[in-house]
Amino acid sequence: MKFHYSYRGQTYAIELQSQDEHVQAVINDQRVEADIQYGQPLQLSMAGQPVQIAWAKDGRNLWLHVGGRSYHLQRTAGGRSGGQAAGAERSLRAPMPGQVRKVLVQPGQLVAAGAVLVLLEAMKMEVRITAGQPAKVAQVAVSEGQSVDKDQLLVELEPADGR
Amino acid sequence: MNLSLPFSSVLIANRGEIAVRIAQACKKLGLPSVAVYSEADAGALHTQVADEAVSIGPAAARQSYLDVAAVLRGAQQTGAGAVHPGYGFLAENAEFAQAVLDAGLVWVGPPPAAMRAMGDKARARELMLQAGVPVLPGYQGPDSQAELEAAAAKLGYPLLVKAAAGGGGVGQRVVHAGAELAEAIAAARREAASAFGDERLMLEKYLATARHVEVQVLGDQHGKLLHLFERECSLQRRRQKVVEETPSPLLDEGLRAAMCQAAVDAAAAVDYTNAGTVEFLVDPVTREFYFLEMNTRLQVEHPVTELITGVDIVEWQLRIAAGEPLVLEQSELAQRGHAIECRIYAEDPAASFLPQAGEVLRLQWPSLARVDAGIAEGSQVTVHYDPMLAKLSVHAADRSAAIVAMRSALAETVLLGVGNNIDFLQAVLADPAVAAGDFDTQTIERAFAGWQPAAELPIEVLLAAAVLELQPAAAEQASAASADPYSPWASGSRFRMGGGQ
Repeated sequence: MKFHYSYRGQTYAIELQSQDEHVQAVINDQRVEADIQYGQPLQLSMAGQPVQIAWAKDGRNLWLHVGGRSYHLQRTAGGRSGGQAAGAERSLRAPMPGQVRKVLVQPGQLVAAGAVLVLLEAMKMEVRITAGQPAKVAQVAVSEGQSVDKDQLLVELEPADGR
Repeated sequence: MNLSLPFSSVLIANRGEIAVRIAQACKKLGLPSVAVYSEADAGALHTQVADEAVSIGPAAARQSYLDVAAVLRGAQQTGAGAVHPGYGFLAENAEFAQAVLDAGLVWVGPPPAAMRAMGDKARARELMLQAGVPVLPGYQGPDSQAELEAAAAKLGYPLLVKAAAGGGGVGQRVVHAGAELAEAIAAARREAASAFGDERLMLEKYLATARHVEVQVLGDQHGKLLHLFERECSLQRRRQKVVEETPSPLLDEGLRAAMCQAAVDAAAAVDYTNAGTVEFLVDPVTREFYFLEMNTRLQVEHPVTELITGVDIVEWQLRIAAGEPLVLEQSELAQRGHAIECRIYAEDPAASFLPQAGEVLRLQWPSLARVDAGIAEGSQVTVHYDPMLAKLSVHAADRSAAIVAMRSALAETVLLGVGNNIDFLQAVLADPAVAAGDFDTQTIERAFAGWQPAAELPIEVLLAAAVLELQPAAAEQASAASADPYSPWASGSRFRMGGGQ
């Protein structure tokens, strides 16, 4: 079976064959073998070297702790993972869950590069959502006082010259 | 030492790790404790560790943890005899302290008059000058936009716009030039209003290169006032401390003695009792120090002081509030070894330290560190409150041994499901300047701007990920079975005193 994961913007592919407690895998054209023992932590033995891996899973999200470090992976469908769609920077989304403190612009308004569009508050901190370049506000998707989730659309911008 | 406290139980007007810490101190003294919680914190660790828990309102802090009437109602409902405010929220609110006293309850903290004197920065500066404690030039007074702008022009740049109430770096903005002032004032005012319910601002000359060194004081109600030496807190991000230690690698005996005496003088000037911290900025070149502010409450980083002095500060807070005299003597207090604390935050250090939320899916604390935690496995980390999740503290013979011990402790910590700063703390402790003790309050922002965790993914991580997909049923079963009844973490108490280690 073939699986794809993304980690820090990179996509990784791994092909796995399992015979119960023994697995063979191909990772980036490299063959590896390991004996596995399920549990928490998961135990892998590679070339006689035991490795203990604490882990947690939530849907497509996978967290693994090994060698004193944690890794947050996401399982992806495979192939190249989308990338930024054209004009994605025009959709300004919440970088974290929080509350909308202030909406400083209205649809139709022209804004300069760096202009503050929305103020978000989370955990006592204020986060400014700013325009990356001169633009026209196409849509304001939130209102003051509203709670937003991470990645929720806040403001939609369009080119200032209407093209 | 027998304790006959004049109160039946202690209401802890706080949440998270500090509420857990205070509940443990109550337990040590045989005192029942009462936790308060908002709707967002129902079932949170601090409500489980306390003997009783009472709901005080909705998630928004202003309607729960910052609501004086709601907290007092909680005390009334549960028949609590004393209130410990912890840090943050209402801890430095003199009106709250007075309301607690007016309700006939014992306030585990300094007298409201001392809190007011130190909370009013202009008055505090005047008092400090009279007491011979050096202060930074600044402005406190009528704080309309125009008045602040005029004062700023006189004071010169760079300067700091800061909330006249509260502390902890919230409601503060550094301003390098006049053009930035208006926006900084607006932002600081909003933050101050939201965090402290008080939007007054003041200005202070900004030392571009400074060390933040503070002195712990402890005073009883019988006129005895002691210091418990300094804490070095210069490693900060966004003006919030990340790593604290004691002794400070900057101080020599002469500077230490001068600063500790200044701290005692500062506290004496306001007839201070209970635990407090006098914060100083130290110019690393001239070695001049300046009074920054006094935090009239327990401090987040109190564990490092407890580790090197052997004094349980929270226990003494309760004893002092009960009217007990301090049996400690200044001459008997000493700094033994070196202690370091790291604050574990739910934040993404690679993305401007943005707060992170989520469920703590897997949690395992290190075996050889003191752990002060507000979370347990299964805890929900929400966006409603401060992102600090826990503190790790270690105690060793000297500074380099303490750094090694902390790095081991961080490596051993497993915290999965919520983005956090553990890798970042490792990087900070691995930094040569930090190892050499040569840093200031700007070091993290300078040296770690654009910091990213290592990009490479070890093969075993990828292999483990795929293996877990392959046999999810078996793996999940094993995971459920791993709720080990003999684990020290299964007892419901995540706090362990490390004072004897």
